[in-house]
Amino acid sequence: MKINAKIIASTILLCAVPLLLTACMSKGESSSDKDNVAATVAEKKPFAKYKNTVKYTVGKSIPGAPKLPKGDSYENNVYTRYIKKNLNAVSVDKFEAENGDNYDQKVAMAISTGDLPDIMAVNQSQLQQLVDNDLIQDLSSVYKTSTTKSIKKMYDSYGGRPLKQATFNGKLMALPTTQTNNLPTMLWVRKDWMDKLGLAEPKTIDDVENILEQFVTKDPGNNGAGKTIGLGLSKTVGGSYASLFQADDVMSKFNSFPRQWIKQDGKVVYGSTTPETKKALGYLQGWFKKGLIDPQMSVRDKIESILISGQCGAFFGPWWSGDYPLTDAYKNNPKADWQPYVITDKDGKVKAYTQNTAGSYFVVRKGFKHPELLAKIASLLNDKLVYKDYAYKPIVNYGLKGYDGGKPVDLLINYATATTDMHDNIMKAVNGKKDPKTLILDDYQNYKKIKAYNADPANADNNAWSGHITRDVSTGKMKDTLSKIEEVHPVFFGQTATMKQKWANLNKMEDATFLKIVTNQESVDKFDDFVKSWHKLGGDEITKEVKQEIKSQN
Amino acid sequence: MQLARTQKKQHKDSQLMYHLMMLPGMLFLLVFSFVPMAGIVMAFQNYIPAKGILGSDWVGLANFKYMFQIPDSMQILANTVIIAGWKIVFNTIVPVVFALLLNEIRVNWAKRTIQTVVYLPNFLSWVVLATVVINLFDYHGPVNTFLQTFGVKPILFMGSNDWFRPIMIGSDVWKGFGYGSIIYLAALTGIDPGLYEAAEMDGASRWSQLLHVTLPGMLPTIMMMTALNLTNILNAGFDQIFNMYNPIVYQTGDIIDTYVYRVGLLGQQYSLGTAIGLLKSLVGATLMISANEASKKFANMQIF
Repeated sequence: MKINAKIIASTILLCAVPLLLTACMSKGESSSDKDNVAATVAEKKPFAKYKNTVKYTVGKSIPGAPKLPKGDSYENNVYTRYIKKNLNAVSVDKFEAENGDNYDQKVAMAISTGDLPDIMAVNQSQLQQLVDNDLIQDLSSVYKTSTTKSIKKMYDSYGGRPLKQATFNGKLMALPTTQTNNLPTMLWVRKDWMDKLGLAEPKTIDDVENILEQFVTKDPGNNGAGKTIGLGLSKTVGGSYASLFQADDVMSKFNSFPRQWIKQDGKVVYGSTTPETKKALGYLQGWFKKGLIDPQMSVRDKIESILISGQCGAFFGPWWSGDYPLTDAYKNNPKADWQPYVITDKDGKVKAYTQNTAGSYFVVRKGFKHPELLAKIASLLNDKLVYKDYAYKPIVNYGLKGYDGGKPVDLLINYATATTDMHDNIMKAVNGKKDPKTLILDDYQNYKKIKAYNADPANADNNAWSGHITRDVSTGKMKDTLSKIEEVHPVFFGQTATMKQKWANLNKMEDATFLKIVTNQESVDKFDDFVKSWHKLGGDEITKEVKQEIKSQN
Repeated sequence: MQLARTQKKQHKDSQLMYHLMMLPGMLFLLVFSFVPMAGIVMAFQNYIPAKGILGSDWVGLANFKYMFQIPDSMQILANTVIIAGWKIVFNTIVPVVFALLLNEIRVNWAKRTIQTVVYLPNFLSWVVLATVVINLFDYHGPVNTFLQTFGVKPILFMGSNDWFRPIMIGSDVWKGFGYGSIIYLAALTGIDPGLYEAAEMDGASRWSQLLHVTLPGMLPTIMMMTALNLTNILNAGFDQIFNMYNPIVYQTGDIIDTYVYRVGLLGQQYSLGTAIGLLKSLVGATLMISANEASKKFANMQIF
């Protein structure tokens, strides 16, 4: 009897294993393949409507909190209906997942089972994987036939960089989302504290140093002796493009561009290992020793909290810092007068590194009969909807009510100068030089906020203030600085084979070294040891590979 | 003979229902614990998701070799074993002592209240507790304020390689000792009261009763729990450390799991992750089997 049970159990086990394995491996044809027939030449035009309804499956990334009207779903909402009406194409969600890690996991799963949706968004390394395994289609010809002139102009406004990132062996394998220019980042500082101490507006890092010193010694915010924090700084110190709490605006003054692959004197180097970065870290250490930087930066969990509570007087951040996190700071204390200032070199220039202009990549599964559909949807949503149908009622109302996340293919394409264009458009409307009704929706809302702020600045609520400080003030300063920026273009953003194995470890060393030097736990000279080990433990190999990849790209 | 057979049949009938009830659990175990073991082969492959398990190339022990070539592997291993080891030690001693002390309380309501209060932290996740701990050891937090009254300069506890491990071990014990003591309290109630009566008759003091009746009575349970805990020697507590560490304390606080997390997240290295996981399981299983043998020999108690 006992033996029998064992036999049964092991039989079940043996049967189950291959069953499950095959279930994982099966590459079933997508249902959309059967009904769909290839498009005619006329149908390939950007805004042409298909004769027969085209069904396509998508991998849908959704926002954290669902914000759809009652009765709508991600498969049936104002955007899907707009696409159906214009193109006669209907989406089916192959999977839905919250954007971020969850979505990435779903994509990884889809790639691992080979069961891909017809259209989905992937990141750089996933794109590389899909190309290597020949799972997606070449989009070169549909890009020509099925995107509008404006879309092509938008991509061209980056000097061709985003498309180059998506091109492999001369073939365009994906349509990338574009990342508009967000340079330069600015020093956001408590103007009310500066006024109280009679300090002038900062222009150079020496001015910044002086302001921070006055802040921490004279405690203008009445936080109690020794409790006022000068500069809020991220644990990573620097190297994240246009992000909050980086020290890049200080480091670039020393020609240090940490965590970027840059060309220096004709040679490709990793910015974190240059002598310039050593100098920059040493300089920041000087600030830390004087108490100008948050003494608890190495363990600070949320820098936002010390800004909102009024303990901290300054930080570096991009133009949108007025929306986040400062809206909450203003809400908490409307007298906290945060103002942005561009910090320049002695000669008035601003050096800054640019980013990877491609964000995520939209790909089309190999075997899907309508590769042009992706280009058509991109044109519809980023050209027709924005520039012709901006007054289309259902979508306008949808936005006004705060609904979000309905687009089945959320492929955002915009001009490189989109941020300063936005500033121009809104301010023209505010100054009566443009009909506010011609503003696109988001701009119109901010136009109203600025109007409300200007009517009564003293009593403006936090929404009106954030509209004013970002769309009027900080983006205005960005625009004024455009001609003074010296851009440094990083030469590589991808991942090489050796990086896969050794990068995590090099990264760990890099993070620890930066943080330890800045917080004065290690002397600046330890930087040389770091550089030595960095080269020895894989850095040399990786640099070689990066050089090779750059060569093959050109 | 006939009688025995009927009895056996009756026995079988009555057991059938119980076996049926066990079936879902067994199936669950089969599907979620045994079938995925097939994935172990990934550790010996250069696993590429698109190619699948059947299509990926075999690389033999290359992943394991690489694992030991990671420059920091010794440091990470040491961090893991030190943190996990001390956690096992204190997570055994503290609950036992606590159970003994609680057992001496004769006021029932006080006993119950204390029990409930010390259980509580166990039900909070580390995401929440990490914030509590970080605030407690803040520059201007209660601990530093207290120390300042004695003229001690504020210490950056969470950014100090001297303090990080003690804080991790201490906060873990604080979180878990109340819950951990439940099983020892149960063991205490299992000790025959007759033994205490007899000891009292023989003139044993409370202290000798503790040493000669209570502790020997609890020993099998303690041995078994230790044996079970030993499987965790390479689990230093990912969610706790991940929520509290920072680059400065990598030196003393980076453990296998946090390292694998970073490597996995950055490099999508499924094979390396599987290899490390497999090695962890092997070490854990070996330790548990040897601890089981030991407790069989010394305490005459075994898990399997």
